[in-house]
Amino acid sequence: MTRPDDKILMDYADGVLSDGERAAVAAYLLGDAEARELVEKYRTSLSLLDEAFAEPMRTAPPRTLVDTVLNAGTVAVATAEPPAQRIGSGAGTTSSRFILPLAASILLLAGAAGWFMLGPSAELPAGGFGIAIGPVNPSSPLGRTLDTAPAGVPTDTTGPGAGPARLEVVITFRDRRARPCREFELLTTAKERQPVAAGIACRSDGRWVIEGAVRLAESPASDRPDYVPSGLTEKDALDGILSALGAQPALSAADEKTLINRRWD
Amino acid sequence: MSTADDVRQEMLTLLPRLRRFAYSLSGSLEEGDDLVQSACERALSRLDQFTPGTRLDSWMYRIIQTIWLNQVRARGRRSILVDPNIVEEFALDARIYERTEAKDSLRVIRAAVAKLPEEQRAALALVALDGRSYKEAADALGVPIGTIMSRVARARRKLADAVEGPTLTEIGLGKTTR
Repeated sequence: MTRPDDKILMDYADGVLSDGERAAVAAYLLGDAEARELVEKYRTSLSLLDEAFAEPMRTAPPRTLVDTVLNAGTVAVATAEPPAQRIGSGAGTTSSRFILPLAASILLLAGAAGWFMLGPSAELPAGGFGIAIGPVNPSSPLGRTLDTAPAGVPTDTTGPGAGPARLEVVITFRDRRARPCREFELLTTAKERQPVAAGIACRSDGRWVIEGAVRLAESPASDRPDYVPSGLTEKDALDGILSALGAQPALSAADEKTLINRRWD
Repeated sequence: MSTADDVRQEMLTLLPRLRRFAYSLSGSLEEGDDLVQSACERALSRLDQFTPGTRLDSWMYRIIQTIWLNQVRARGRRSILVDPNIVEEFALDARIYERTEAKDSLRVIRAAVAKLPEEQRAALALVALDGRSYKEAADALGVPIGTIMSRVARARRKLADAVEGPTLTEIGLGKTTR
């Protein structure tokens, strides 16, 4: 095999080659130290890039920004869409008086993406599991759960420094763009199975992307000085994310199974 | 709820990603937040230009990119960021490199990103940072998919070249707590 071009090496580093392609490149790399080093640099630089610009994903946005989104602009769009059908809460459409505390809940990100998202190379933040907006590594526990687990069937797993944890898909549905989406929960501690975090991931061009996440467990506000207690339940926050996505009613078990078997295509 | 409320709600959930995109374009958290502020104000004053059901994030990315490029042209320079010599300095002395803390390796990467041509930086930010597919990035930036692919490939090769040796791997992968 001749030296694969940079794009192939990059795809290899990102883990997105097919099994056959990956095996071929791996075999080639055994004999080419320079190419191996480049693969390593691709991996390293991507991790560093993610870390270098991670701050906005870890802190709530400035209040002025939130206020702008809530209050700026005077032009109203003429047509009103029918409200998306709600799942689960039965509480009806979120009214605007909830939007500000809702924002604080929705935007409360529990820190750096954790082991359950990125796989073994990521560090868990002290004091909790992290779930962050963005793509899910398909080989991580969360990625595998989203790919293969039916709703209501938990996956038990353990992370380094994280202890035993359980991932469970709560519900599968389609959003307003007909993308398959799954609401999932991360539960931890061996004894109580307390839900720690929850999120919603949607299928976007062949991968799962977390569209929204909330921290569920009671945690001390002191470890996050930017935490704004919303006074709302986290369930309302999840409902807000569902509403923003335009969630349609839950898929049947049969439809969900079909999607799993078709690898979500 | 009206469509305007839908848009505001979705915009709220997009704020972290928009902030990250603006941060990577400008090299500064504060300047990035100013960019997002301007973009949100502009978008909300032009809601009649947004088609409900289409991708709000793509529309917002494009607005942010437009405002940023206008600022760049007005200023006559690429970014406000850090000393571009930093990359060369580290390349020259492996011993400095070995003692480098994780924080400095992040500065190296930020400097490398700041040195990228604007169009490569935007493509990199959408695909490699935000996890958009090539198609989504192409739609957001209004260029062909092939253009996005080549910009991302070139940008990532430059970032890879800015990273030196196995020692950086050990100190750069988040094993140091911040």
